[in-house]
Amino acid sequence: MMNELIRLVWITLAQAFVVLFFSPLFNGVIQKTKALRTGRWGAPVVQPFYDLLKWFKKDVTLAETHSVLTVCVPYAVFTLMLLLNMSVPMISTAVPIAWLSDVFVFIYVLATVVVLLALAALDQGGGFGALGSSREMMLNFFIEGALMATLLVIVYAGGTESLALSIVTYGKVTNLGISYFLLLLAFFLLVVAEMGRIPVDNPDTHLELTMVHEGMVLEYSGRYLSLVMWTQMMKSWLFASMFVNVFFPSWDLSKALAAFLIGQSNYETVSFAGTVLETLLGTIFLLLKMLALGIIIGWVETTFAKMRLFKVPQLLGAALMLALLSFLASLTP
Amino acid sequence: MRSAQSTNCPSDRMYVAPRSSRLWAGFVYILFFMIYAASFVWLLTYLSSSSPLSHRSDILFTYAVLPDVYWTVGLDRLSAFFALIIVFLGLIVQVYAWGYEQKVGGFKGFFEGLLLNAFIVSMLLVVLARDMFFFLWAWETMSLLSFVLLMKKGDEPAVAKAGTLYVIMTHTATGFLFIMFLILARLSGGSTFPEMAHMRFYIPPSLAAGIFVLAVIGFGTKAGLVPFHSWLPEAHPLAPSHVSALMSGVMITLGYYGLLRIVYDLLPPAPLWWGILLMVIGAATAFLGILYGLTTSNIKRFLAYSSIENSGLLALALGSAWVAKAWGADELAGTFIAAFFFHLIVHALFKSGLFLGAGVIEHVTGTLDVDKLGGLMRRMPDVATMMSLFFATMALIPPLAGFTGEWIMYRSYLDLLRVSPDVLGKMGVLMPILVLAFSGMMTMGLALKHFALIFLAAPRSKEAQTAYPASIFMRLALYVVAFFLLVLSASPALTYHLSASLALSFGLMPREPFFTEFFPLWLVTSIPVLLLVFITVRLKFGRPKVVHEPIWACGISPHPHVQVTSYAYSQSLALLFKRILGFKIVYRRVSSEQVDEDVKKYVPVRLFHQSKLKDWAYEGLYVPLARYIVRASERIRRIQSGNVQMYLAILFSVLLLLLWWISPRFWR
Amino acid sequence: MNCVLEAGLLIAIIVLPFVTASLAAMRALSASRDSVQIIGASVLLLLTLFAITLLFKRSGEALVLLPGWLALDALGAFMVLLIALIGFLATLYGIPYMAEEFRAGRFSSSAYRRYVFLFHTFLGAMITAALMMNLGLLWVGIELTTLISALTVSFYGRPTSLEAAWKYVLMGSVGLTLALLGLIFLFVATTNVPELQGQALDWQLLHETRNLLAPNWMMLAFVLTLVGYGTKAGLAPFHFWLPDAHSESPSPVSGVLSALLLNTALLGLLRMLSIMPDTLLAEAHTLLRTIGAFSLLFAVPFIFVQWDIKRLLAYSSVEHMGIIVLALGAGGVSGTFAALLHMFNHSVVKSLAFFSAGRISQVYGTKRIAQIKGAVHAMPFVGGVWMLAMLGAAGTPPFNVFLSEWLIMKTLFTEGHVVVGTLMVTAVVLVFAAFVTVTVRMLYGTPETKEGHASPSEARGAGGVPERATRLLGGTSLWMGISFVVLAAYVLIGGVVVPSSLTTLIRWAAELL
Repeated sequence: MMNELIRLVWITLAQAFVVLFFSPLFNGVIQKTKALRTGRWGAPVVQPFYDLLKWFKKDVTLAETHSVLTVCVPYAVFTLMLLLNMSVPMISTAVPIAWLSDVFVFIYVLATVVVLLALAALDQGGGFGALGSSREMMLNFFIEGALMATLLVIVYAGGTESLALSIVTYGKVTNLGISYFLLLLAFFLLVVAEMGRIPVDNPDTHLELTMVHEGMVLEYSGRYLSLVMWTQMMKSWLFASMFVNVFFPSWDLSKALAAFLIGQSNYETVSFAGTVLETLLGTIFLLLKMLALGIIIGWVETTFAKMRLFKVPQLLGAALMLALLSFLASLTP
Repeated sequence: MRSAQSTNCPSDRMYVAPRSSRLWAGFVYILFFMIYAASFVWLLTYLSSSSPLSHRSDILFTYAVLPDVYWTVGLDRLSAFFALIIVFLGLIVQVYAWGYEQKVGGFKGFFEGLLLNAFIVSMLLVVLARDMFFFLWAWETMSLLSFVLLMKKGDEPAVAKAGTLYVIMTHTATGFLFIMFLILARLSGGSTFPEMAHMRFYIPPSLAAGIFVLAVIGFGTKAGLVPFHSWLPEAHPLAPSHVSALMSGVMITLGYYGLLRIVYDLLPPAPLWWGILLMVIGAATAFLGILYGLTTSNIKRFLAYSSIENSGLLALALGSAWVAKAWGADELAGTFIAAFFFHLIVHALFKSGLFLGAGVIEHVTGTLDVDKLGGLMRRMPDVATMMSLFFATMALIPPLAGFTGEWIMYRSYLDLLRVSPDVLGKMGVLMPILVLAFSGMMTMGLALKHFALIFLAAPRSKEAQTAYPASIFMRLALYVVAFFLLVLSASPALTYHLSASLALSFGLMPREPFFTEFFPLWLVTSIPVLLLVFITVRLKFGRPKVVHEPIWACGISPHPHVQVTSYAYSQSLALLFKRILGFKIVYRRVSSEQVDEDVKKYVPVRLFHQSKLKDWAYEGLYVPLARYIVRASERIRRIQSGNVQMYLAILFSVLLLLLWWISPRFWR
Repeated sequence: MNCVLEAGLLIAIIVLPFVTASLAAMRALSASRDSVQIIGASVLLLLTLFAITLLFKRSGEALVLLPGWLALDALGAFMVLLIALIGFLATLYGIPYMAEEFRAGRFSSSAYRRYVFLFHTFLGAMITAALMMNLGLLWVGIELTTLISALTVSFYGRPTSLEAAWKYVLMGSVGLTLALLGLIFLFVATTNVPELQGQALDWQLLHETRNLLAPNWMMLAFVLTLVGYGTKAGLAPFHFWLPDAHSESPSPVSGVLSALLLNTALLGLLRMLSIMPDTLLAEAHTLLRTIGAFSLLFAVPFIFVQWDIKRLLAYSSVEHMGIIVLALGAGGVSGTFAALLHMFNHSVVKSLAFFSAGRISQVYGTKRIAQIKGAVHAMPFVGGVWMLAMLGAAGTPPFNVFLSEWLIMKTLFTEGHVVVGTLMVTAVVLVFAAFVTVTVRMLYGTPETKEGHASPSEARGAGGVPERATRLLGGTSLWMGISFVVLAAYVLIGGVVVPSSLTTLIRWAAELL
C-alpha cells in the first residue's frame, strides 16, 4: 500500500516535470526544424522556455473593459491542461489521475479549456479576440467531433472506457493492418489541428486574416500571457505524446529493459527503484519519439501552405472519415 | 418587435403598479404557492416511500361528466415524477411572476395570475389523467391556455403569427392523438388506461405500428421533434419569460410522458424499428435544433432552439433504450431510461433558469437582442453568476449535472457498441455518439457566445448601460433554481437513483452509478492544483503590476459598436452549413437618420444586414400544405356562384344520385 | 285537473309567442315594447321549464293536448326548451342591438315593429312545429317557419338581402316540396297497414308499426325527406341558401336561424328516421353518414377562405349540421344521444358566436374580417366572448362542444366507422385552424377606424343603458351582457358539468326514437 502510494507520488512528480518542462522544448524543436529548413540557424531550442519566464516577470496591461474572467481564465486553463496531461500514461503505464481518463470526460474537459479561452477572448470586447474566438469555436466543433471518433476507435479496441488503459493496450491488441494506418493518419491530422499548426493555423502569424489562437490571446500580457501560452504548449505536448504512445508504444521495452538492468526477471513485481528506472527509460524513449515527431511536424509546416479557414473543416472531415473507416476495418477481420 | 422596443426608457421600465392594486394577484400567487409547496412535499414522500415495482392502474377517483364519459384520475410513479417537476417549476414561477408582472395591477393582474395557474394545473391534470377523454381534454386545455398566455402580447404581428402557428400545429397534432386513442378504444373496448392495458398484447403488430406512428406525430409535435418543431422557436421566445420557462422546462417533456404512457402501458412491447425510428428522429432533432440556433441574436429564441436540441436528446435516449431492449441488453435499456429521466430533470432546471434569467434581462434592459446588450456582469454580478452556472450546465461543462446526464448516455452507447450484434448495428450506434458530440460542441460555442455577449465586454446600447437592479423576487427564483442545480451537480447519485427507480417501474434494472465520486474527486484534485499554480506564481513573481488601457483597435479609439455581434460570431459555421440551413444574407442600406448619433461622425451610411435561415420543415412542408389547402378551397368555392339555377341543378342531381343509389331495391 | 293544466300549459306555450308578437308590435305599446318582449320571452321560458318539470314527474311520458296531433314528448320538450331558451336570450340581445340599428337610421319605426312581430311569430312557429305529433302538420309548421323567417331575412330591404331572401324561399320551397313528396310516398307505404287507416301520418302510431310499412316506398320517402329537410337544415350540397340568409338577416335572427331553425328542420328528419323499418336502418344510416360527412367536409373550404364573419359562422353551421347527421348515422341510442347533445351545445355556442359577431360588426360598421382589428382592446368583454365562442365552435376542450363532438367521434369509432371518424377529426382540425386565424386577426392588433364607421370608443355605452353597466361589461349594454354571460357560462362549464336533467331529457328523447 505504502509502496503503491510512493510509486504514485513519484510518477506524478516525474510526469508533471516532463510535461511542464519539455512541452516548451517540444515547441522549440519544431521552431528549430523550421528555421533550419528555411536556411536559418534560428533561436535555440530552449527559446520558448525563456519567453515564458520573461513574460512572467513583466508587468501586465489589461483592457479597460475586462472583467474578473480575464485574470481567472489563465490559471484555470493551466490547471485543467495540467490535469489532462496527468490523466494519460506518458512515461510509464501508470497514470497519476486515473479517474479523469474516462474518454468522454477527457474530451469534455479539453473542450472546457477551449471554451474558457474563447470566453476570455470575448471578455475585453476587442475585435481580434472575438475573431479568434469565433474561429476557434468553429474549428473546435470539427476537431472535437473527429477526436471523439478517433478516441472511440482506440477505446473500443481497448475494451474499456478508460483512455489511459486503452492507450497502453491499443498497440498490443491491434495488428499493423489497414485499421491501424487509417487511424494513424486520422490522429496525425488531429494532432496538427489541436496544436494549431500549419495547415490548420499558423502560430507565428500576427495577421488578422489568418490568426486563430493568436487572436484570442492578443489582449493578454505578462504572466497571464505566459500561462495561456504554456497551456497551449502543454496541449501540443499532450496530443503529440498520445500520438506517439498509441501508435509507437515502448512500454514493454522500457519495462523489460528496466527489469533487465536491475536484474529482475519477473517484472510484474518491480521494486521502487525499478519503477524509477522504468520511468527514466520511458522518459528517454518518449523524448526520442517526440523529437522525431517534432522534426516531422516542422518539416510539414515548411512544406505545406496554410489552408484557407473554410477548407480546414474538409481536412477535419477527412480525419473523421478516416477514423470511421478505421473502425469499420477493425470490425471486419 | 423592434418598434415595440423603441419606446423603452428606464423610467417606463421601472414602473411598478401600486401594491394595493396587486393585492388580489398576490393572493393568487400566495395561494397557489402554498398548494404547490404542499404537493411538492407530498409527491416527494410518495416517490420515496412507494416501491418502484408497485405500478400502474391505481385509480384515485372517477367523475362522470356524462353517463359514459369519465374523468378518471390516478397516480403512479411516472405521473408523480412529472407532477413533481411541474409543481417545482410552479413554485418558482409564483415567486418570479410576482416580480415579473409588477406593472400589472387590479383585475388584470388577478386574471393573469389565475390563467398562469390554470395552465400549471392543466399540466398536472395531463399527468394525472387515466382515461382518454380526460387526457385529451387536459392536453388540449393545456395547449390552449399556453396559447392564451402567449397571446398576452398578441398585438405585435410577430406574436400573433407565432401564436397562431403554435396553436394550429399543436391542435393538428392533437388530431392525430384523437385518432390514435379512438383506434385504441375500438381495439380494447374500454376508455380508461387500465382497461386498455388489458388488451395490449392482443393488438396486431401492424396496427400497433400505426398507433405508434400516430403517437410519435402527436406527441412529437409537443416535444418539438423534427420535422414537427417549426412552432417551437416561434412560440417559446414570445411568451412571458416564466411561461416560456414552463413551456420549455416541462410542457415539451409532457410529449414524452404521453409517449411513455402509450408505449409502456397500452401497446405491445416495442420492436427494434420503433427504437431506430425514434433514434433517427431524435438525432436529427438534436443536431438540426441547435444548428438552427446558430445565427439568432434573440436570447430566448436561441434557448428555444436549444430546447429542440435537448428534446432530441431525450428522444435519442428513449429510442436507444428500446434498441438495447430489442438486442437483449436489459440493463443497458434501463440505463438509457434512467439517463432519459436524468437529463429531463437537469434540462427542466437549467432551461427554466435560463428563461427566467432572460426574463430578468428583458425586464431591466427592455430588450432580448444580445447585440444590444453587453457588460451586464458589472451591473448585476449575481444574475451573471447564476446565468453562468445555467449556461455552463447547458454547455455540458464537467462536472456539472448537464455533463453527467450526457456522460451516462455516452457510456451506455459505448456498451451498446459492444452489445450490438453486427457490423451495421455497430456503425449505426456510432451515429448517436457523433450527434451527441457535434451538437454538444455546438451548444458549447453558442452558450458561451450568448453569455459573453450579454454579460461581458462593454455595453452596446443605452438600454444595457441604463439597466437597473432587478426585483428581488425574480432574483430569488433564480437563486432557488441555481441552488437545486448545484445540489444535483454535487450529488448526481440522488437524481440517478430517482431516475433508476423510474426505469425499474418499467421493468428494467439500470446499472449502478459510476459517477458518484466524480464531483468530490474533481474538487479535491483541481482546487489544490489551481491554488498551487496560483501561489507558486505569486511567490515567485509577486503581485502583478496591472495597467489598464483601451483595447487594441488598430490605432483608432475603440467604440462599443465595433464589438462582435451574435451573427458575426457564428457566421463561419453558418456559412459551412449553408446548404442545410438555407442560409442567406440580405444587405440593406439604412438612411443616415437611423444611424445612432454617436456613430454618425464615423460612418455616413450604415449597412444593415440580416441573415435569413430557411426552416425546411416550415417552408418545405407546412407553407406549401397551407397554400395547397387555400388554393384547393378557392377552387371549390367557385361552386357557390350565386346562381340559383346552378344550386337547384346540384340539388336535383344529388337527389337523382341518391335515388339511383337506392334504385336496386325496386328492380329486385 | 291535471289534464286541464297540461292542456292549458301547452296552449299557453303555443299561443304566448304570438301574443307577445302582437302586443309588442302595437303602435300604442311602442313605449314599453322592450318590457313586453322581455316579459313574453321570459314567461315562455318559465312555462317551458314548468312543462318539463311535469314531464319529469311523469318520467318522460308525453303531455298530450290533442292525441295524435299535438303533444309534448321528450324530443318535443327538448326542442321547445332549446327554442325558449335561445329565443329568450336572443330577445335580450336583440333589444339593444336593434335599438342601436334603429338609432343609426337603418330602418323606419314601422319596420321596427314589423321586426318585433316577425321575430316572435318566428319563435312561435318553431314551437308549434316542435309540438306537432303528426308528420303532415310538422311539415306545415316547418313551411311556416320558412315563410316567416324569409321576411326577417329580407328585413333590411337592401338588394343583397332581398336576393338572399329570394334564394332562401326558392330553395326552401323546392326542398319542402320534395319533403312533401316524401310524405306522399310515406302515405303510400302505409296503405297496407290496417292500424294506420285514417291515421296515416300519426307519428306515434307510425313509430309503433314501423316494421309493417312497405320498405321500398319507405326508402324512397326517406331519401326525399332527407333531401327536403336536409335543404332546410343546410346540409351540403343543398345548403347554398344558408350563408346568404344568415349573413343578411339582423344578428339576433341570424343566431336564431342557425341555432333553432336548422334544428327544427332536423326534427322533421329525426321523426322520419325514427319510423324507418328496422331492416332499412343500416341503409338509412349509411345515407346519413354520407350526407353528414359530405356536409362536414364541404364546409371546410368555405370556412378556410372567408372574408365575412357571418358567412364564416354560417358555414360553421353547415359543418355542425353535418356532424349532427353523422352522429345520427352512427346509429343506436348513443348516436342519437350524441346528436341531440351536440344540437344543444351547437345552439348555445353558435348563438353566442352570432351575437358577439353581430355586436363587433355593428361597432366596427363592417362584416369584413380584414377590416376588424384589435377588437380585444376596443371591446374587451365582447372580444373575449367572441374568442370563447370561436374556440368553442371549433370544438376544442374545455368547452361544451368538445364534449359532444368527442362523444360522436367515439361512437363512430366504436361502431366501426373508422374512415368517417378520421374524416371528421380532419375536418374539425382544419376548421379550428381557420377559426383561430380569423379570431387572432380580429382580436389583436391596433384598432382601425375608417371614415363613416363608428369608432369603437364612440360605440361604447350604446343601447341607452346606465353608464355603470356599460363600464362593467366593457362596451355592451346590460341586456346584451346578460345574454352573453349566460351563454358564455354554459360554453365554459358545459364541457365539464352537464346538468343531469338535461342529459335525462336527451336520453329519454333518444330512447323515444
